[in-house]
Amino acid sequence: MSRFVRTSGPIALAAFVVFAAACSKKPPVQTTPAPTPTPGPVEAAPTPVPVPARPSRPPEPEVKVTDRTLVEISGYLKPAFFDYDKAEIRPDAREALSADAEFLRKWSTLKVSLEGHCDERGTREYNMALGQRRAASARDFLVSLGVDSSRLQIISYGKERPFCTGQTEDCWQKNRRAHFVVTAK
Amino acid sequence: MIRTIALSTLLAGLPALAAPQSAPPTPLPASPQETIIAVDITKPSGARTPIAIPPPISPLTPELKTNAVDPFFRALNDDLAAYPAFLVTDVSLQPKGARPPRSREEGDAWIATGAQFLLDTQVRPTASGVEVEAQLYDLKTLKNVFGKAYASEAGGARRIAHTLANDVVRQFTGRPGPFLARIAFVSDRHTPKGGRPEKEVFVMDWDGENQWRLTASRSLSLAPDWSPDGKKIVFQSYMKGAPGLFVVPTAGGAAKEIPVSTELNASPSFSPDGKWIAYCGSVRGNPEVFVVGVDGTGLRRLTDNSAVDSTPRWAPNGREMAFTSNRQGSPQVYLMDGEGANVRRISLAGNWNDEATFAPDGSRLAFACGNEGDFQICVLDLLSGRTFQISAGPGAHENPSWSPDGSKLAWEVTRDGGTQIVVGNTDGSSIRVVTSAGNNSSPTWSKTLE
Repeated sequence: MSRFVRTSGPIALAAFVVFAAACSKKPPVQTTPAPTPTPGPVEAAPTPVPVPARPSRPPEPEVKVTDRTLVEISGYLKPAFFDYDKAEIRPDAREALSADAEFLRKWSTLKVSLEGHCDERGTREYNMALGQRRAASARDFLVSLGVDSSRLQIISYGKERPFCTGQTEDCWQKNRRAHFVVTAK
Repeated sequence: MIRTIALSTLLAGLPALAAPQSAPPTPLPASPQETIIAVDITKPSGARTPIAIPPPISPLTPELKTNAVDPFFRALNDDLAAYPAFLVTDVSLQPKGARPPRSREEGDAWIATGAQFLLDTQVRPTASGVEVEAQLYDLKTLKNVFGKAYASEAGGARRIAHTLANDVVRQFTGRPGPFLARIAFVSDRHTPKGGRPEKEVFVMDWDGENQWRLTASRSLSLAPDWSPDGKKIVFQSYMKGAPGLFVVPTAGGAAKEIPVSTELNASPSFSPDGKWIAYCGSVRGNPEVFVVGVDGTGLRRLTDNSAVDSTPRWAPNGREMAFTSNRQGSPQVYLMDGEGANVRRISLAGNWNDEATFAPDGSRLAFACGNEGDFQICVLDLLSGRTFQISAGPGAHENPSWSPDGSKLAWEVTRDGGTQIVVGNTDGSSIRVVTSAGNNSSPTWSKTLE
């Protein structure tokens, strides 16, 4: 039971989607009454009773198979990283967000919050605004690739919630990002 | 609670300037009703008025010493020693038995210790608390400059000290000191172990004592600013998920949201008349400066630029505003009028300037001045156009706030991964760390003196 409960969101989601697809096209209910043989008069010459046409087999519900390999789904949405004091989408962020857009198109019910984050080497107040810009840049890029903007919220955390607290460029780079949080499945 | 940063620490790693420079003179207006001993509080520290503050005379009961005499004396010393007009002399040199000085010889014995004035105090228990009698003597004339008695209930010894220190400053400058003003700030000290950082708004005395929590948002509550009358604090909070503007009574109570249609809703600043909040709001991902009534009515946008516009702070005259914009490629400080017109850039050096805030008399701006990730506190004199760096040393220094008398600045310093609040004079002297529990940031002085 506990294993089932801990099943990751996307796996549970995938299971649900398949189940829903199976349920949505129920086999049509046969409404024509089945022909019942009526006993003929005994004295009458046996006349060939026309064999009732065999009812055609109801069509099988169609099963549509889409590749949603689960190993890809968990944590799939890749953050976009930014340069110091910049909110422009870099080539590596373009690559990440393009894959994210594809994923979001595939999983069309997902809604996400895009969090804008900044590293500590900037002022608290301006970073709050810069984080908003980073989140907005990532959102606008996703929208340009066909993701519906109503599925994308943005929120800035400035430098208030860093992912990494060391004083290295490696760490600062981790903190300059637009980060996905799934808010609805 | 208070630690003084050694000057050698301050000077280490100071790249551009050889030493903190004193701010340009800004004479304080003298109140005509009072006898004023003229002291230019912006003179170099060598010209501070030397004042002797011997330990109070009091009954020798351990309880009185612990509960009243020691806290009183420590607070009085901390206040006056850190004030730019005074030099508190070494009381280990004090002459025996010359309190108060009654003869020329006794006066000269004090003057020989380097003092020009003597602040003589007595602490006595009363039925309900404590009384302090204070006499200030001019040692040259042996004249009693003032004499006052202060009484309070038990636990009021520190508040008596701050009230007396304000009176002593008033005697010399015509205006009270900042010692009864308070500082709002943000602390993460109540973050649950292993949880995401939670930040709440706190309030403390100027010297870091008497800290108490004002919000219980269990999220991020940031960027507090006081209403001009000191009764309310506006702040940005994530308590409802998306960040909003909230107002909380400083006496305690529930925070109330100011309804606005913008996102982000950062860096709120009360107008000098207390009716409006300027803040950084976002529409379609573009941060701009907005103004809204404290009741949520009258929302209007002041900036209209595709660049980031953030961090608005009102000038004391209510007609101008400082803000930050990267419209020329990097975050810089600009001024505009109250309707968003007449925009001009005023920070010229460095590649990241932000968090500009006006001195109470409007003559100067303090801001975080940054270059290549190194942040210090700078003060720009608006008349001369000259900029002085008043902080120094390792760490990132930011978020300056003026004391309501204009003599001090509080700011935050991030060093070795931790952030604490310091308070120093506007010439960069007497810098002290005043917080220690958790990380503490965004200090903001109240705007009233008493």
